Amino acid sequence: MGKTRIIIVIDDLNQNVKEILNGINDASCSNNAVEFEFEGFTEHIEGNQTDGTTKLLEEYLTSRYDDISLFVVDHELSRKGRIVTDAVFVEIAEAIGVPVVRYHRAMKPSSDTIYSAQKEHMSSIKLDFDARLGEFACKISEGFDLLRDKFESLQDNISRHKPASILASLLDAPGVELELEQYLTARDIFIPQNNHDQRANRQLTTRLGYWLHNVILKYPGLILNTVATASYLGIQPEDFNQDEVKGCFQDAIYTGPFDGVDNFWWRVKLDQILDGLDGPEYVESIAEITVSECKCSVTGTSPAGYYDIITKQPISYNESVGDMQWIPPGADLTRINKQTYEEEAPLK
Amino acid sequence: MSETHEDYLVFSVDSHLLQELGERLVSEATVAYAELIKNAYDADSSSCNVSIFQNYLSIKDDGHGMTLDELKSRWMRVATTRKTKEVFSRSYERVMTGAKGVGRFAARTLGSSLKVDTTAYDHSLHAYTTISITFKWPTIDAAASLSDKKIKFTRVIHDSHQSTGTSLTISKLRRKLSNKEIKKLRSEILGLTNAFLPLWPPTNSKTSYIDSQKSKKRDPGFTIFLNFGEEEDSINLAEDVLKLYAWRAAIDREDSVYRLKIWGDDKKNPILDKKITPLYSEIGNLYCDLRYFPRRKGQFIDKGINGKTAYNWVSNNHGIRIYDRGFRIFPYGTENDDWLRIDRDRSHSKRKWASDYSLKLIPMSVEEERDTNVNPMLYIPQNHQIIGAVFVSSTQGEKDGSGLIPSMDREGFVKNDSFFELFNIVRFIVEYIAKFDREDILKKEENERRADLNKAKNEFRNVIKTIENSTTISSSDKKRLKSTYELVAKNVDELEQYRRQTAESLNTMTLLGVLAGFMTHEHESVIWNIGRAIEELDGIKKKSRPLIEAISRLRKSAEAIGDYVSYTRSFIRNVSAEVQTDLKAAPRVRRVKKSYATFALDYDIDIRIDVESRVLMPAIPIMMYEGLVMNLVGNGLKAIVAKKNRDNEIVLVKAWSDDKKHYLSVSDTGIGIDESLRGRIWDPLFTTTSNIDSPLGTGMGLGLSIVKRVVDMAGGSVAVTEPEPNYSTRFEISIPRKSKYGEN
Repeated sequence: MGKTRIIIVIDDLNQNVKEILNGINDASCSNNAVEFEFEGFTEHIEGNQTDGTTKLLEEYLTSRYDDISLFVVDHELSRKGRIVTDAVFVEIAEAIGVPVVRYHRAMKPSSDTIYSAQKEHMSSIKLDFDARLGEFACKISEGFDLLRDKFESLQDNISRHKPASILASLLDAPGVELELEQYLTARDIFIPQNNHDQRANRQLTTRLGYWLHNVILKYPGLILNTVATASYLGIQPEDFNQDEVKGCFQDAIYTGPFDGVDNFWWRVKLDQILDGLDGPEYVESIAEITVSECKCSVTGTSPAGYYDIITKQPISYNESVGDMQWIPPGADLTRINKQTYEEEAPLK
Repeated sequence: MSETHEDYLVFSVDSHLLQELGERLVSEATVAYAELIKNAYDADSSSCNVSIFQNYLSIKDDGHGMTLDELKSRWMRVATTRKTKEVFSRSYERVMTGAKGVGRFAARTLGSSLKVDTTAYDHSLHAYTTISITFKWPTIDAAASLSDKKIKFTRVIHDSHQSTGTSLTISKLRRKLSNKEIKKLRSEILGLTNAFLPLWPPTNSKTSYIDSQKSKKRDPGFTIFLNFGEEEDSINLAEDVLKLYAWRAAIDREDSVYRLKIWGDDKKNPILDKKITPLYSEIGNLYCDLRYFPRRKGQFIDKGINGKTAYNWVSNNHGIRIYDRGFRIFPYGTENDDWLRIDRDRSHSKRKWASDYSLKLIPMSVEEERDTNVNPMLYIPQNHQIIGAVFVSSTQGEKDGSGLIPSMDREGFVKNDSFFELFNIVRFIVEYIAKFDREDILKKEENERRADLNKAKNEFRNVIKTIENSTTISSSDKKRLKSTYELVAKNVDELEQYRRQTAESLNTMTLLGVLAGFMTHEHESVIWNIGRAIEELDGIKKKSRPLIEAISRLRKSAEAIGDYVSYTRSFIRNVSAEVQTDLKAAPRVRRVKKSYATFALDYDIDIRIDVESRVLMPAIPIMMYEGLVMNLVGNGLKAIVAKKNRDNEIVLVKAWSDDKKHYLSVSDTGIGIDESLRGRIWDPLFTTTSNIDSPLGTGMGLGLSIVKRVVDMAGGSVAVTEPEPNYSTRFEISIPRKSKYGEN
């Protein structure tokens, strides 16, 4: 039997808690190494009495602190007599270093806006409430746990290191420290004074986790998601998604925290594999498959090469803008459709 | 027979060189003063007294002075490179300001005689010495070579301790400084002064800061006193600029309470003097002085100093520092430090007070909190606008961990209850300043408006009076003119009444805005539920073709509602956004087109945009412009949908600008507006489509009346104009490119 991990789901509708817990349960069944235990809270007021679940939560936080892996919190806890808000849980979690996933029971916009794309980097991970919420929450908790486990095995006195060098060690990629530094945003990642302060260490790994998930993996540059990889390689995403084609780039696959959330590839390793050829040429030479060239989602004719962070589509340099203040400098493949930028950049 | 002779040549220096270095290099008197004052700064002086009298002037400092060796090797040596080698000053490690080593010759520009008296400690003699030497420039100039001219000096070797320093007395003045030059001089030397020194606790404050005064190495700062003879008091420059605050707040600990004082325009009598009981933990002595310098028109005008320089000085010295027993505690008040979290809250548009003192003592009503024009938190001073110092005495953690405790790594204080208390009380006074400032601004705006109105009324009264008293106007003309002007005067009154009504009705509409927020929110929830239902249905549709089609329709309309809601959400979020200039018009029109895209597609209507990329929208709120386009395009769509037979229907949006105005036209191929009704379309509640069974649910008749009102507010006009060929209706709006917000 493995280590116990607790995921705490907080929602004011029992039905939602149940659904998310089922999702987590289904997802974690496949994972033999870790046994998950979870509890849902639906605190609400009846007259002047609360139903006591806050008390239960308190007990969890004090006696099972070490086992708590993740909070999954509804953005809006106001349906039945407000007692707490999601901000309270985010603050509690921040103080004790437990990561938080927040979800919103509201429509999923057809695409991100510049406004939504640049919000909230370092205090929680936002997910859509759909059928896969439980599964994603499970994968995210695994990512944070992996970071925590790896951090515990670091022997060095970390207070002498920079966040980028610590994360590079945790990703087993010491060579990318400089590239990671290019992903530092305005928000600080505090390094605790010594390795013995358990709470401070958890705060650090949680913040590193937010940084990795919400910034580094989100904005392609160093590690690329599927569409960004296809665009970078110049292979049409549908063609790239074929197993034989993806297989050609097996050695560049990113394996590490949050690798279950999407597929990711190390850009530097893709470069090594290509060794001067372009993507379609390389696939042709290895798998003898002819793939279509990746076209810009705006013109439909010119080659893409870049990734539109708003539409999540391949885009060409000429049809897009980059270097936005809120896009980390390291994310040089991340761009925005020129017209969308003109329309939305002046808005909040 | 040739003869070889070897010898050496030396450069001889013409005595006119000094003239070159003095009058030529430093031709302006203000620069000369500044150079001499910089010398005092570089000599580690804590103060420099500049006195300018009728016939002479003196510049005295309390720096380390010069010994004879130093006088010979430095003062008497032209263009010494000492300062370029020595980057920092001897005692306080100040960054040296003079560079060329010729500053002292600047004295020539001011007067033809210079007397130097300098007292220093001479280590080679183990005694204090005072050297006096007088330079009479005309006689020096008269010498053929500089090295030929001998200048007499006297040296006194003291047998007791002496205060060190240098005094320059310049006589036979060339001319006096003009007021303009005095202002320039102040600006020149302002950068040398210590912004925070005037903020130190007065001697009667209980807060301890004595320790630091004993510190040998601590830079006491540099204070410049300017005395222009006729003025009674000499001027402390830094203090002078610090007095130009918009608001000042000071807190001093008096026994068991804090005494808070706040000053506004009246710099002598505080607008508030209040005793406050501490809320939380004990923090011991506290003294705090904050000055707020918003960048506002007139803030530094006519204040005897260059406004831009003064503002830059404030900007370069900004921050709220903390001193513990007189020692600066880092990082508080450094660049990018935001220990009071005011910049963060401002950028996040936080609406609630953060200090518990504010919540208790100056609570905001729900209405105040909601009103973006009134809520002071939205205008809270930012770090770059504040110069402030907080003086405390830490306990070093002696008493059971209470009190302010410096952290082990010397980076700030431990975040315990006492620090929380310090945060609360200092943040409180910043919030209090924000409250006073906001109230003051609103009051001034109201007064300005009233004054304008009264001025207009008085002008009309005067005109009527002039007409009545005129001997050249016939009595019938008098009567006619008088009644016309009386009517205009009455209109002014009515205008005021109309303004009040408009404000009221706008408020009423704002109330509806709250409902719009709720509707948007609920729609999001509904759409989410529809989405989930579609997912469920998708799972069971299998072979049922009608169900597949129904799901597809449902998905399409859910997406369409989703787009409307997204647009509404962004509209609400941006409705009170600050006006930006240099924004292009085409992207705004494109956004509106996108918001109607599904509808236009359903009814096969082509929304065409004819706006060149370089055309800028007028300098009005972004949502005001989009709102106008949206209303007119919406009207066009409604007019087309109302047609019985539709074919090749178009709504055409054009925008262009000339030198003065921005124009926007919206044409449509709809049912048109009957000639007889054109005069009434701007009336509220008038509509041409109310009887038509339109899917847009029209009939309120508010759209055009609001368009007109908004265009009027922007100083523009809107009209129904001659339609272009093949179109039935055309609206044209023109708005001045220049508005109160700027120019586009």
